Amino acid sequence: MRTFVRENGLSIFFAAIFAVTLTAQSFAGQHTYNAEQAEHGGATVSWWEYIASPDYWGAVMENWQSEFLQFSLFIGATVWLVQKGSNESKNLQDAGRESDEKQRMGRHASAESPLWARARGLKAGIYENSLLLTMVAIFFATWLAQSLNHWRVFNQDQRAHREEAVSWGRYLLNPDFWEKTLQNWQSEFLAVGTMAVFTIYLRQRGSPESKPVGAPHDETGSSG
Amino acid sequence: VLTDARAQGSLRCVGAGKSAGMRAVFVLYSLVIVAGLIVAVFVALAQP
Repeated sequence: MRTFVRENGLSIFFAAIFAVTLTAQSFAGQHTYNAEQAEHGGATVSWWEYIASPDYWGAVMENWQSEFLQFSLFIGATVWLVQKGSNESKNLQDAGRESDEKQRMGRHASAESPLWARARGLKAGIYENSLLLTMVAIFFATWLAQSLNHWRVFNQDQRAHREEAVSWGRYLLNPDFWEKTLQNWQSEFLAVGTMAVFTIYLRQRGSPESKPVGAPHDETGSSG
Repeated sequence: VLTDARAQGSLRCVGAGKSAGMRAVFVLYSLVIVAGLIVAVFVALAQP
């Protein structure tokens, strides 16, 4: 057990704080929702009712989609684009998909390589892009889930104000959907760009997200 | 040959044990994402 925790500490730590913050969000969200309901003379909801509401899941999915978009773009963009001096970039001359030899694929794979890395054709094509494909799929699925839940919330508000409900297709063109989407995207893009740029000159000793403390500022793609 | 097969079998067991933790966290994260997505879509579609 101790070995399991030590070997997987990073994943366990993030899973634990994810569970805590998701729960905390549900309680804070319920209070906010009920305060607004009371203000407008509407019925308040229990915690159980709130966590089964589109208000809660819309908020959850709204943040999930932007995080998965952020990582999808970062994974994809760093194949082709480089940033001199950044820990988040590979060396300038390595821009692109790189050779099979460098990627340890096909006949360059070792006995310990994943089975699909030793394969050729479609299997190899899928496996060599499996991380990006999975992250993009999760992004689109969570974005869809966000749109469906926020659409339901939007129509609840419309009905409360005695206005006409809109179709899901119409909601996708509504500024409410895009405001909720873009407010998350812009912050993710700034944060990723900042990580790429700040690691040129700033350091965190011991972190693989930083260059070694003594690495020159123009050294690219080295982890500390 | 038998000895080799046993040795390979035990190596596979050691290998499986070594990767059990990694597999567990991979499955855990995958399940959380899939479960979250299913619940979110279900909640939205269940609304009147």
